[in-house]
Amino acid sequence: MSKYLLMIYNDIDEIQRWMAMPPEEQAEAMKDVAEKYIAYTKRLMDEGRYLASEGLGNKGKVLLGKDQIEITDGPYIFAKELVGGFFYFTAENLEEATAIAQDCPALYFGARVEIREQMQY
Amino acid sequence: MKNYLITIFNTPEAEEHWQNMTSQEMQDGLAKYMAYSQKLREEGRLVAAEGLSMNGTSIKLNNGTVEVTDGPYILAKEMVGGFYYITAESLAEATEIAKECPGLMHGGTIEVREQMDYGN
Amino acid sequence: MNPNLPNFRDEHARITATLVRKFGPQHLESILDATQEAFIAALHSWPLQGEPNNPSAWLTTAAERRLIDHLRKTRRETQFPEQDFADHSLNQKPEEDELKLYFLICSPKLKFSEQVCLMLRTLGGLTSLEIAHLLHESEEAVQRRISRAKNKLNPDDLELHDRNASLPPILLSLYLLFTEGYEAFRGDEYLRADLAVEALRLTQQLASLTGQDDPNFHALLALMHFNISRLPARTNQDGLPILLKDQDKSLYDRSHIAAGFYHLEKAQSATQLSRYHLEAGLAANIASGGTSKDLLYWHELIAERFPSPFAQLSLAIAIGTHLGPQKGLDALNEIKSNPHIAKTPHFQSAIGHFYTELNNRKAAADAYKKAIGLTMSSPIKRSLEQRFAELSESAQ
Repeated sequence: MSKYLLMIYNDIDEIQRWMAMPPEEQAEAMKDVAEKYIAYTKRLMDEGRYLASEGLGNKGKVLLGKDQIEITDGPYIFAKELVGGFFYFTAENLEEATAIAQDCPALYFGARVEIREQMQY
Repeated sequence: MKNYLITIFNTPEAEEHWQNMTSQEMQDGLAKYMAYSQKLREEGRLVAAEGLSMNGTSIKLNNGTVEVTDGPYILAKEMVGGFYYITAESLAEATEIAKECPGLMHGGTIEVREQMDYGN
Repeated sequence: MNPNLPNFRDEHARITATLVRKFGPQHLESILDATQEAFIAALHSWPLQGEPNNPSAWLTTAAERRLIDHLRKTRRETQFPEQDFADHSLNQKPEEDELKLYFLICSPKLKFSEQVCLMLRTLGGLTSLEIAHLLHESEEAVQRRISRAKNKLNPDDLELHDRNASLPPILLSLYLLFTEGYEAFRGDEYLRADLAVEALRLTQQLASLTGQDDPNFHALLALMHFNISRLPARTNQDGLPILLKDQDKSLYDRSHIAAGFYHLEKAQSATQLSRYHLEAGLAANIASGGTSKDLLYWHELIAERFPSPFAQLSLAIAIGTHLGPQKGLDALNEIKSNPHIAKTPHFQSAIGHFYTELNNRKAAADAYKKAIGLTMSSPIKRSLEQRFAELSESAQ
């Protein structure tokens, strides 16, 4: 058993499309997202592999620099993407973790997900 | 108390820095890094932490088909190297904690992110 | 400091030797890369995940995994035979593996300069930049040499060649490793005392394992002991260097001085005096409080018999110390056209020192400023900045 981090990378255009939705439509869509995430989390828990997960908001700071630390506001945006949340769980191997990641609801909301194995040896 | 994710992004400069370190520098760097983790642990704010290997996959849906690519996802030449998942009073406190992270001294970029506010 | 952490430099040599034994020296290049990568992996993961129960075993496994990955990749391209991966029975004496590795690296197939570069990399875990500094070479030249050397090695060489032929590069590598420890050219510490002591330990170990009663071995051991005896007096409480004339000689370690004289005695059987003999003679004189005239004699002898940029620079400084600052400046002026000398911070700080003695503050300040710009060692930099600041204070 190894530990895996599933990172969700949201596309900025996709986020803006969401923000542009009329409030009612947005609330409806959000409800759908929340339900799917809750179900996915429950599945990981039921399978006994859940360690942690978190949705990350827009509040953040980016730190940079060796001698003098430069701090800027907001999430770190690289190539039009930013980390929107993560799941941290256990799996037998990378193949199994990848299979589990393929069911992650984020994929169906236009996000890219990345699976990374913990460093061991 | 809120949860914060401190992510360490390794830049190509940071990678080169590691490659050229002497055994002694590595040992000193490691000692500093371990002391930092130990402090977070003792303060009871460390929920989880992990160094990530190069073993990974990147997944995206393309017109309804799942596309899986091998290897870590490299964003603008930077790559997530590890993370600390901690608790803090505020973003300001979490930022203060992140400032002390030795990953910075080795040329990495660090992101601090607050958990999403679910409105409750 | 975590007491459970192993000494990385020892681990570096041990892991390299273990993997060379298991996989064969023809893979030395991959082995060195894999070893470095294992340490980087430890740095990335131990602080976050906590240190493993057995750090040494963790590092060995990590290096071995990376090496196997690497070999699998290259084998796909070059069709390595399967037997390359054979696991030979474990040798009970790891230090003998290390010894074999050193003799292999110093195979007569390699050029002398290649042997020395590769030795410093494996023996001391020094980086190309540090090796380049020790050899007065460019970093690129050192890297080229190391990769050329690694490609030439073959495990069968080990059984074939005459071990005595390997002694000169082994001794020089140990000497250079010691020199880097004695005054680190970059970083936060003026001295890397542990590196100097490690070089002494390796030299003692090699001497006992090979049963060498070689006078050059004794000369090298003598010079190491004499110089180590002065370590406690060479830095102040803040880790800044103390000039020889200001050192508290009562702090010199008597037991190392005694060991130095013991080996110097044993070194007398040489038919020809080596560089180590002369440097041991010089070090013996310094450790036992020789006059500036005595030191000048030894520096002249060394610069004449074994000329090198560093020997010339040391001689010029010795001339200035004994015959007066103007003579020192004249001597420095004579060697300034040598780029290996002029770009060292030592050259500029010597100029600064002699001009200070002549009370020429402006010229002294200029030289110290240049030296500050050239040094990569933070304690030397701080010490030069202090001297620079004292100049402007006394001018007011």
